[in-house]
Amino acid sequence: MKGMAKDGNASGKSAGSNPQWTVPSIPIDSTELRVNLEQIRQKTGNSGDIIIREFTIGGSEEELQAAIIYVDGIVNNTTINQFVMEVLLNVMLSNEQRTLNDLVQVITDKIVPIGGLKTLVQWDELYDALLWGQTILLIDGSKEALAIATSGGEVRAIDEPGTDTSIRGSREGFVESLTTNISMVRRRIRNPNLWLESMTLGQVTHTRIGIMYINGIADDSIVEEAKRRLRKIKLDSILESGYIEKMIEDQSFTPFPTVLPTERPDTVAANLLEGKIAIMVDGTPFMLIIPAVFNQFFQITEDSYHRYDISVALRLLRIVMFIISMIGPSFYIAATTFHQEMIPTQLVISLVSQLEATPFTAFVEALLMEVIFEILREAGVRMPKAIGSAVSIVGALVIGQAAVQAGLVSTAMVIVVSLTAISSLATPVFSIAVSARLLRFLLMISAATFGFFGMILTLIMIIAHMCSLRSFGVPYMAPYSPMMHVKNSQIHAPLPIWMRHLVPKLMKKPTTEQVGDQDGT
Amino acid sequence: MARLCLSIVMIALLTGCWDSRELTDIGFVVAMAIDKGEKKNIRVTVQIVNPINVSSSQGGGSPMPLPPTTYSAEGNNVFDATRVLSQKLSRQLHYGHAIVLLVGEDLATTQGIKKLFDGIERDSEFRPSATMVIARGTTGEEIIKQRTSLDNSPAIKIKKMVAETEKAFGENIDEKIYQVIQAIVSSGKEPTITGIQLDSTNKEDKLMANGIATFKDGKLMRWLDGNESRGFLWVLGRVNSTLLTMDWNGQPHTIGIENIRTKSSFHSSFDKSGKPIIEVKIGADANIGEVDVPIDVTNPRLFLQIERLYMQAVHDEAVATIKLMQQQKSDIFGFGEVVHRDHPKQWRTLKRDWNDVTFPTIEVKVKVEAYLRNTGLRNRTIMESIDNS
Repeated sequence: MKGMAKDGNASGKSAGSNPQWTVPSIPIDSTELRVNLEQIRQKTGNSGDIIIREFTIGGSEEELQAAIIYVDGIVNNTTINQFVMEVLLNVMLSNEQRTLNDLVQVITDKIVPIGGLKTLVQWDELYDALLWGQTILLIDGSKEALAIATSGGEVRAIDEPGTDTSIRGSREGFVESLTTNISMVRRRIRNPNLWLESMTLGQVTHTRIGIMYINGIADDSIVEEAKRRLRKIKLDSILESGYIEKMIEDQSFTPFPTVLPTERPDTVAANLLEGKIAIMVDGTPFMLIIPAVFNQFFQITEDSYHRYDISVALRLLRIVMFIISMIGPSFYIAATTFHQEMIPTQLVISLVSQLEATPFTAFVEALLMEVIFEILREAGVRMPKAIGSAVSIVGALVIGQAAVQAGLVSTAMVIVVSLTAISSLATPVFSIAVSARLLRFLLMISAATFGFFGMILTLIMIIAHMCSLRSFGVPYMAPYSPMMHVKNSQIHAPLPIWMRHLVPKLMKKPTTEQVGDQDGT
Repeated sequence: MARLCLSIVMIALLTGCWDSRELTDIGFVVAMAIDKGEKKNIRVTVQIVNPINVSSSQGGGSPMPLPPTTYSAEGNNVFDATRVLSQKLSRQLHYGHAIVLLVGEDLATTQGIKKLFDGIERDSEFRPSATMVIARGTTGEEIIKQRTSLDNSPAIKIKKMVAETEKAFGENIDEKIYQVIQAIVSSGKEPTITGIQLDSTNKEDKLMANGIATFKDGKLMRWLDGNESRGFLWVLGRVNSTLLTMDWNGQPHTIGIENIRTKSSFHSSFDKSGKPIIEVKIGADANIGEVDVPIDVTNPRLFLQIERLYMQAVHDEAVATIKLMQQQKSDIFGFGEVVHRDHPKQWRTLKRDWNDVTFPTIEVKVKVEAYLRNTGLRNRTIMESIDNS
């Protein structure tokens, strides 16, 4: 596969070598319950939420010492009480059973009425299971431990997504629980070909990662490449999918995102059906979709839900908004300080009369207003919700009529900055809006130094850079550069649903005749 | 990498911004008038946008319009005079928004307009698409100092007025600077420019467009007025809306025909003696605008009769102007250019004496093809209704 500029590999600090952080992969060597429990207590530092409950398994004369260990809060207490404790306390073991070496096997086979049971012999497996919310059963005289699937505990309920909101379509948004998220996608694509691969990343955090794709539709080489890059990640911690995003990108030093984050299960499903791959990280509602080309950041799943004509118009509008949010202020600066003849006469007359009262040059004025807006925006995101109205009141003063009346800025500049801000906020995918946000300042500087000439030079640089980007080997500007004939794709415009085949062929061709691939080319 | 960054910074800091100008450091010239100077050759007057005037009119508007802000200077030529202007101004003049160029009648008659345009066209700022007018019977300076009531400034008024009156009245011509320059440069066409004069009957807003100035050898020669100028526009096919009143059965001016659009084409050929013949085809569409005699315009016979009358009227006006200009020995129609295009070889010998010898004697055939398209919202005339009742 071409264009793998950089592989996701280890960088920065790694605690992997520090024995303190990892549990050595050694077998449970003691048969004595007391010894084993002591080791667990020591390893977990007697943490209060690690619950160790010792009891005896019922029987006749000789009572069998046993203990269950679980982490409070990430287990389902009802399950433990009803199906583990109650069962084990009430069971009557015969003497033969009790003396058997494979006692654990007997418990698995005949006693505990729970689906997920697993016999563990290694310490690292034991801790892993414990910390994933399983209940560990240790029995005196046995080197084997039993992990009982009792995961549970409080998670956030499924809610409307905070970003990626839509008018029509599913109201579900992903939550922080990986299993819930997977189930949400699974519910939308009920097909055995929807494959999920799991891995655990993060030396310290042991975060679970899921890679989802539809076998047969997704390009195998991209799937392999994604897995390869994920496996190479050696990080201590993965707290959000952003960690993964940065490690698996083809090119890190770029303002443009090459991975598409989303909070919507229907977006993930739609992309999976187009042959994309979704990477999910436990603990965050943001899933990553790869590969992601530039065009894709302006398509939203809702386009397919609305009528065709309005969807086409809206998609064009989004691209226009992106351009405005990038070049709005710089266009104003270049036109007013270098190319006055390009402004219509009536407009230039009214501009002159406005600017007569303002002290700053166009560039300083634009920079000032843009920085003020960025401050407002940041304040709007970070502030406690209770004082939200304060920011909007004050914000209207600093970017608004009051600033004009104070003679600080011109009305025209307020309009330009507001238009830019609205366009930026209306760009559907946040990560692409952010890239325009930074480039805006670069363009403003070049417009203030060289006018339109400088703006064009900078835009040429930006476009050349975008053409050099790749997302998992797919050119970022595809299908425009390189020009690709994309048959039946909705990448240019959302096609009416009856004109689509299931699989667009942007991401290289599917290997064999696939679901919905009608002409098999 | 550091070296690269440094060089980028240096590009921006050392060479950048050299021609950047803030809007507030610029005086926007909206109209320029060129007149005969008293001490020196040329007197240039510029009208500059006064931001304070504009803003005061925005905030509610003063009842009496302020006089436009103008500055004058004299120099040996146009460029020289504009340089002198900077002595009187706090701002750099910017000609990118000059929409009107005025030339005083005096200057146009005595010195001619030939020498005025080189500097204007050479300058990258001045727009060749600015409207060109002649200050009729006065100086250009006088015109652009006038107050206007509907529009912000004389410049805007003149630009709009000339364009509008060509469309709606058909007796003025909206010529841009580049068209005038083309005509001056061409050997087979003479320039024509609309006149702007002071209308003393209107105290508040004196500017009015009147007549078309014709030139010979770059000097103003004769004004075409009324039907003469319309005759000129018929030949050019540039009449849009205009009204012709015609007689009906001896009753004068009883039928008004409203023209909608016109187009014309020229063809040239040679007669046996080798003299050029120009054929002018005029196609016109018109509506019946007003009928003040009791006739039934739905009657096809009468309708066609009116149409024929109309054709004749257009034909007469066009021929009259052509005859007039042949007497004046100035080919404002561009017949010479047609000969040039159609017969470039013969043109080489013809062009030397075109205006003085050949043009006045050539035969010009005018063919008019006019159609009445519409009778308006009425079929029967009001007069007819009155008579019948």
